[in-house]
Amino acid sequence: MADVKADLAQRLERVQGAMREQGVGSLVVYSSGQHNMLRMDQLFYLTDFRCIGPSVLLVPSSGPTRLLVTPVWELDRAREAAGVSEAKGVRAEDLAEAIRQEAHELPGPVALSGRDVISMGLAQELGIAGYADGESYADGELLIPSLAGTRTPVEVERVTKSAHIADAGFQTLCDAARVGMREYELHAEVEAAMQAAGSEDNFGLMGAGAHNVAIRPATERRLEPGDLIIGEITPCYQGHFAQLCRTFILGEPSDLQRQKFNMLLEAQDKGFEAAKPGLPSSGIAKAVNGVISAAGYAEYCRQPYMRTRGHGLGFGGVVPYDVTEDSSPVLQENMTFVIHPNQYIPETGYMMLGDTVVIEANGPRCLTETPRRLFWKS
Amino acid sequence: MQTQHPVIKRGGLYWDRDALPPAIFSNRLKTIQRTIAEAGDDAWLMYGDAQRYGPVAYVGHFLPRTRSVLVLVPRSGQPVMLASVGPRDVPAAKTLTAIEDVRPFTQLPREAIRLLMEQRLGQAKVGLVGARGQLSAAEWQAISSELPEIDWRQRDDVFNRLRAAKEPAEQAMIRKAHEVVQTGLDVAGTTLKPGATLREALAAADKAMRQAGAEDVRLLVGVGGGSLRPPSDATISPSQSLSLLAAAEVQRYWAEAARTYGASAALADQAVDAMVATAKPGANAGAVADAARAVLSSATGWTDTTADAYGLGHGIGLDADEPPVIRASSSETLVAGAALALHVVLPGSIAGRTVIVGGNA
Repeated sequence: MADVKADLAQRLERVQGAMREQGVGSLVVYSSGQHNMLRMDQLFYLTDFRCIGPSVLLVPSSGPTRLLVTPVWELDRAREAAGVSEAKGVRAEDLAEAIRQEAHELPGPVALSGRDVISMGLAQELGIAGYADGESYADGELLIPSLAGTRTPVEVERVTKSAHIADAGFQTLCDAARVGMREYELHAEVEAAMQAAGSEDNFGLMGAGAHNVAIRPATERRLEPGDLIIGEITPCYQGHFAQLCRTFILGEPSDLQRQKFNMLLEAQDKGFEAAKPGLPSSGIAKAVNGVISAAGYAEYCRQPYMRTRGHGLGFGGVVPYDVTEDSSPVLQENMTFVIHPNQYIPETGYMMLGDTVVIEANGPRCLTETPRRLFWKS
Repeated sequence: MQTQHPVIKRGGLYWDRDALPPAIFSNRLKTIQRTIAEAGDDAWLMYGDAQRYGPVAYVGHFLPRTRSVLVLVPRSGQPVMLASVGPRDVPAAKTLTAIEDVRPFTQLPREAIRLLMEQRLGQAKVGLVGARGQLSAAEWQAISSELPEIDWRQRDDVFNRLRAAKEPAEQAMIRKAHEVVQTGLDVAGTTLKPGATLREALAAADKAMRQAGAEDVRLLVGVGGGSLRPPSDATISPSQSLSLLAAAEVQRYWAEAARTYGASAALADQAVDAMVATAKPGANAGAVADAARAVLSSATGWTDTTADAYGLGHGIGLDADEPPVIRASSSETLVAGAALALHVVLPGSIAGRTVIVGGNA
């Protein structure tokens, strides 16, 4: 098992090295406590602490960091986190003043990450109401994400575990799904199985119907014979997400459904072939879209019929972010992301297929182990 | 109480029109528009996100399962909702709300500016609800700098008064949510056993609450005298006391309760009972807190600050944490129909429940 403390120390060294190179004296990393799949959790990246309330990590360009955490009773848990060297509990109403005081003592110039999640009220209390002019803080938003595009051994281990939890979740979906069950009851089964296996969060979506238009949240609808159940299962293990997308039919699939799902399999294969170190991530989307377009669905390779052909996965949104024909990041070894040719098809409705991969020297290695096929239960 | 926020709402999301019929929302719209006029405003912008969505759920029952939503309520006419969903998600979003005009956005400032201009509000008086605590400063800067002639006013206090007393249908939903929480606490009583991990044991409670219709579930657990925290992979030892706080959201309405397993919570229970007895219409929120402190003080001399650190309670409803705060310094007067989440956290024990002021829950 990889050494978490050493891994976190190396992350901090990399960040502080970049700060010195860029002339940043200190970095204030703010997290609102509202976690978001599309935003990298920078505070977690340096602390291994997934905060409940608004919290701030103060990072000097050398030396130990200091964490300000709300609510006050979270202090014990914060202190136990592997990347926290010094922590202080602060009442929410005192946070602005605490940040001001601490930032005043930090070596300058001081940069800030988290502008996009600081509320207008807190910004006013911090005296940065004239926000766009950057008078108070330099822009430090991209400093950490630029260093966190690839996963360390600890991170790969956690994403892998998360992928296996997703496999367990989908297996539960297959076992538990039955006609007459409400969608949310099935979702609860999947959720509980993954929590018991170690999941602490889940970007989980699950829709069902004879002809799904898109993936959506579970509703009170009861499952019916012939339903296509589409699942985007995204558990989180020790702060790291992995995703599995599959299609399950409550009944025997038709030839048409098999044929269209085979198209997604072929598209995903082509996407895998394009996922090699040194190649642009846009190549994956082009490869996937190529197969689907050749099958006569070129006009469906855009919103609202699909969203992206994949996206970065780790602690929230990470490089390569959304995989589209316009995405620019170049693939590197140890990037982790999902490749999913999820697609609305006019004849069958929305079908899903997606797997989390890690990029290795020869190409992608699937971390999810669920067989890549159409699932059904007669 | 604050709990770990998930990346997405993933319980059953739908609108129970029998429990909360459309007429409730048309009546609320009239009330809000009358209040807008009385305040001398031309419109209100009501903002919410997945963490705090009370204002937008109040006006139209919608909640964002992730990211945010903005509702423009003009002084007269129909509201317009901007939701952070893709175009393909609009049909599903419309099934969740009484607001008919639902528009997707990827960049909130751009769409908000467009909407305000479309409604000819570029030089108007516009109230802000829910924005100060939740709307990002960057988005606010982008909107306000493009519309320098709008006279913006903070209207959180005015709006909070509108929803302080819960309507009968709201009280019913809060009671339903409280039943769901009790179901979870009951199940936890059967699964929190030596040898199980906290995560395994509480997954069963989570499932029971979601299967009972919870849109969202929150659990915090304390082991022995340790602090409350999200469930971990720690294994439960024999004779270990466990403090569990559970919250559930049903049809946008929250309730929370707490229970101790494997130890006596008599003192915490007495303190909560004292608060419940004091929380009558017309009572002062500070007096409610004082009732708990008196019980604790007589037993312990009040040398421990644990209960203070966690707080003694707060309003609850469309947001998991609403005014008033139950603390010694609070001077707010409780109104009949207000919903309160009252809790006492002590080292090694916890008690708590949700009550309707002047009601029988």
